Amino acid sequence: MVLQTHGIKEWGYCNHNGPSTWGENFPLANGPRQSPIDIQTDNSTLDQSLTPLRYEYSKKSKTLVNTGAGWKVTVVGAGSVLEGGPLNYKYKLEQFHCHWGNDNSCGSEHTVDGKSFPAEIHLVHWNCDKYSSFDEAVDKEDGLAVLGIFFQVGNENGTMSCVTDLLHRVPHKDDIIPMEFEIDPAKFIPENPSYWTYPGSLTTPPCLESVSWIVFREPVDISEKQLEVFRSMYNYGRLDRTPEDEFRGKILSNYRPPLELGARKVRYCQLG
Amino acid sequence: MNPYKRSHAIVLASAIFAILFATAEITFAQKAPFRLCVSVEFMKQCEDMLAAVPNSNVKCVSTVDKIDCITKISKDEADFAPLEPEEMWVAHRFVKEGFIVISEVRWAEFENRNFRYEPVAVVRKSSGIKSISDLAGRKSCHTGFGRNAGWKIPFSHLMDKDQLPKLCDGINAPTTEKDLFAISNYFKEVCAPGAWVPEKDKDLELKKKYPNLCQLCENPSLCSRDDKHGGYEGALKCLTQKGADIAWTKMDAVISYFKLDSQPIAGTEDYHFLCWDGSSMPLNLNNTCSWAKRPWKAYLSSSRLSSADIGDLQTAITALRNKGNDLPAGDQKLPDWMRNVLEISNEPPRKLNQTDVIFHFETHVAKLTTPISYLSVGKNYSVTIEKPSCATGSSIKFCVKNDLEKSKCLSLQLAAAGRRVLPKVDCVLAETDLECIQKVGNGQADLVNLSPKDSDWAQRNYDLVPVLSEVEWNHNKDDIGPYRYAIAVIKSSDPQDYKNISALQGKKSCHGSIRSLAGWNAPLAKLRDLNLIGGPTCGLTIQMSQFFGNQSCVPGAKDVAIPTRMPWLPTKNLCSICAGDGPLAGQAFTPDTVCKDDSSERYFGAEGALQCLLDGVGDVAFIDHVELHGKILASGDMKATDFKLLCTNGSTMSNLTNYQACNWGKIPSNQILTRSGDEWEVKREDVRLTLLKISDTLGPGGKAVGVLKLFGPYFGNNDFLFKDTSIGLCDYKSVPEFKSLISDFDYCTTSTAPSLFSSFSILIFSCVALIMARFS
Repeated sequence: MVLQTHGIKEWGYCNHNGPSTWGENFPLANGPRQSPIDIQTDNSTLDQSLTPLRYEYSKKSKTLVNTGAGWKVTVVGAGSVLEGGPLNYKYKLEQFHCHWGNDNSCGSEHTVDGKSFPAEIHLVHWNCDKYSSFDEAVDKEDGLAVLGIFFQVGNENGTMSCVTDLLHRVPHKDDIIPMEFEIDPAKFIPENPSYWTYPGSLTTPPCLESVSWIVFREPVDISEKQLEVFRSMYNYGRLDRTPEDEFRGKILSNYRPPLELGARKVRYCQLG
Repeated sequence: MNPYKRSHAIVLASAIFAILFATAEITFAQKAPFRLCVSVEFMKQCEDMLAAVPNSNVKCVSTVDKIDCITKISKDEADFAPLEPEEMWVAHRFVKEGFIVISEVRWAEFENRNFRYEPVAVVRKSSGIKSISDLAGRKSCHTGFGRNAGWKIPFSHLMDKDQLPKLCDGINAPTTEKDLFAISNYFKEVCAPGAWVPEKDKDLELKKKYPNLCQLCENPSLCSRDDKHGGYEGALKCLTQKGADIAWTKMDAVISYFKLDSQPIAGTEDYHFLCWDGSSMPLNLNNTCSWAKRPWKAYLSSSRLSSADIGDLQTAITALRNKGNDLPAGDQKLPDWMRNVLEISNEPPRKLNQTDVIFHFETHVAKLTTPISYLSVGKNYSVTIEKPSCATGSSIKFCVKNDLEKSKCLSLQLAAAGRRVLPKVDCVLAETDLECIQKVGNGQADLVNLSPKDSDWAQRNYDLVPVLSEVEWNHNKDDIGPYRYAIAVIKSSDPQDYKNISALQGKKSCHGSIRSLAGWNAPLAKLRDLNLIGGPTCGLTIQMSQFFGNQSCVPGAKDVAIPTRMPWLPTKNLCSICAGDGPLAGQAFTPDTVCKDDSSERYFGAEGALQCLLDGVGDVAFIDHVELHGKILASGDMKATDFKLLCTNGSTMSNLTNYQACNWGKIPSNQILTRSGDEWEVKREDVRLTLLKISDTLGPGGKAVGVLKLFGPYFGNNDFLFKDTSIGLCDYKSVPEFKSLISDFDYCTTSTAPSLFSSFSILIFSCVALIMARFS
């Protein structure tokens, strides 16, 4: 009988289990094609051949989950499509989630010329031309495409309210509720469609190097209050004891700092 | 004397409320009513309540259970509900913030008391016990095994104060025995009366193994729940008459046993209270040294309400309560809505011979108390919920098949933990039954709930073992068990005289699904037993088809023919009267839907099989009694008078509840399976005992029924975790007829382990050869 191997330290964002330790259990985290990166505008290449992205999403989502590392909305893939830009295939939306920091000086995973934003949302898509499921695509070189959008503090983000209004109902890790409202992920995308693109990875373990990254230049608004709602989530289960880490069980910060670009090139598509 | 007179006297002070209420009414008129969670079955009583108090400014919101209610309050779909402290804890864990406790429900007799009861420890002074660390090796008296004040609460404190944890690990045993082992090794002699496990023989075995746990009982050899040294006062008797060192009971019992409120009995001065901080206090009424105080049931509301709104709401609750106390006149019974809607009178004080329970109103806890601080006021009552056993670290992992089922599982986890059922339940997500079976097999999960066929398959291929069965609903209380009756239904207008069952020959049949044991396997086995069909195993299918004149609808027959390499299956005949998505056979809009094994086929499932009769297409439908009564007739979609039962002797019965006398065999219910192997014996026992406790506590008739609806649709989804129609769980017992039900057909259809496949092919081949021979 095969027994599951338990005891792998759970990854997180605290000192003892944070990004600098991920490589111990997830060797890919030390790989050559890791994300996020610092986007240096001077070193990115303006690529005239890049076309604007085309996207269309179903407004139906399935569930809102507290993953212990943040929140995640899983969506109904049917009727959604992302194509164009640097992508050679059609991609389907699987889920979206956010990264943030304990104050507004940090939070985004990608940085632009060293500058952080208070939060960043990731719309995660999989290549539905070549693969039959997200699980199949997740570790393939051209398996995933992720849209990254920066948030700046400003007005309340109406689309994000659909999430923040529900977060108090998934306070603990593994809490899950069905999404009852419609939410249009396209509304997260900024007015100006200019973007940077580069080949990278998942920014959380197992850090698979399967992502075509598309990061929009223009940040969109989110209110201070909404960011506070993010930071009020807990990283432990309903029946677990409050952890004695430096965050006292709160998800105050869940971003991975930028990694080396190495031999990769960042291309820039200027539009609008 | 009218017991309610007293209530009036006590609430006299609230005469002010009458005035308040009169003025408040004006403001109420413009406000949206306060929404009270009411269990769906009591909505009618809520109407009675609102009719009795027309200006209450309250309305009722129908909820499935308390967890649904807590969710609705957090979603602003309800405003308030009465909750036990254990459910306050659940509310806090479920949705961390946003609740406040606004009013308590107190008994009239104890209306000045701030807690419902206060567990205490009484110590013999001469024992020299000075602190909690002096308790090891002593003689200890308890109200009973597993009871709150006398067992779980002391246990939780001994755990919390690090007295027990090291002993817990001294044995590899199921949680119940670990607990017994730890206490047995901690104290020298104990009286822990009551059943330690549900089974008599296992209980006796454990009592032989840990004899010191019964030594202080009046009758150590029985050690039963009614032992004179058990119960609240019995524990004190044990202390004073058996020369024990400490007794765990509640304050009320100490007062009445030692007569502290009048003339204390002789010898009272030989005892004192041991406090949780190690200090001691004399035995008197001013005791403030309980170990954990159990708060009253209280009304929970949302912190989105303004303090003015909360005041109005408190007033509204009081007005309803006053009316409820006023109503009883002749029969001296409180209206049903007091008990079921306001939940004010469902806990009659044990010792009092009256039922004048009264709602007491506490404004001082009203405004700012969160559920968790409400519990901590009682000396951190949460600890007693979180640590009442050795099993605080371990869990049993329930395998679930989708996100929403996981969400129900997580609610179950919380509801069970709130009621101190340990080890806790964890939830493991898989995609399919097969993946669940594999996960249980390799230890990633510990239990899965399967249909009898899947269970049989998992036992044969993955070495899983059933430990529990679901209990099926039945009209006859004495016939309730882990099985359903397969029945044959015909139209009540059917003129045919079936005196001899062979008259069924040539009739058209509707079977619901080829996977249905009642719809397909049961009639197959029965017709074989009656010698109406026969011959070699694999020929039965064809013979059955022929028996029904090659006019049947067996949805799914066309699908199994291909994957199981049974091209000889008479698919056409088994699907010949199926309608697909059309109104009748041969009129399908989408040809592909004909004979499909899902609801796109008009005659799919038990309801479809009956529809097949009503459409005049089929003459007989094979279903089971739970499907007929628990689902179809209960939903009101079809009328009982349209049908009658056909018995296997050819008689008919128009009373559809006669299935015990008129059936086509017993079908086993769903089963809970876990891993086999000696090394998993402890886990198996934990799974079995924990789920039994869950079903006893949260299921129908349980102490905490209504916290989480175990059996029933979940947000419109059917059969999550358990079958909707089940009513409980019991130890697994095999249904002897089952093997013969599945053997004949399934050995021809299910492809099992590949290694067996070649021999199957031979079998099938020889069958085909035989059939061919017969036809030629």
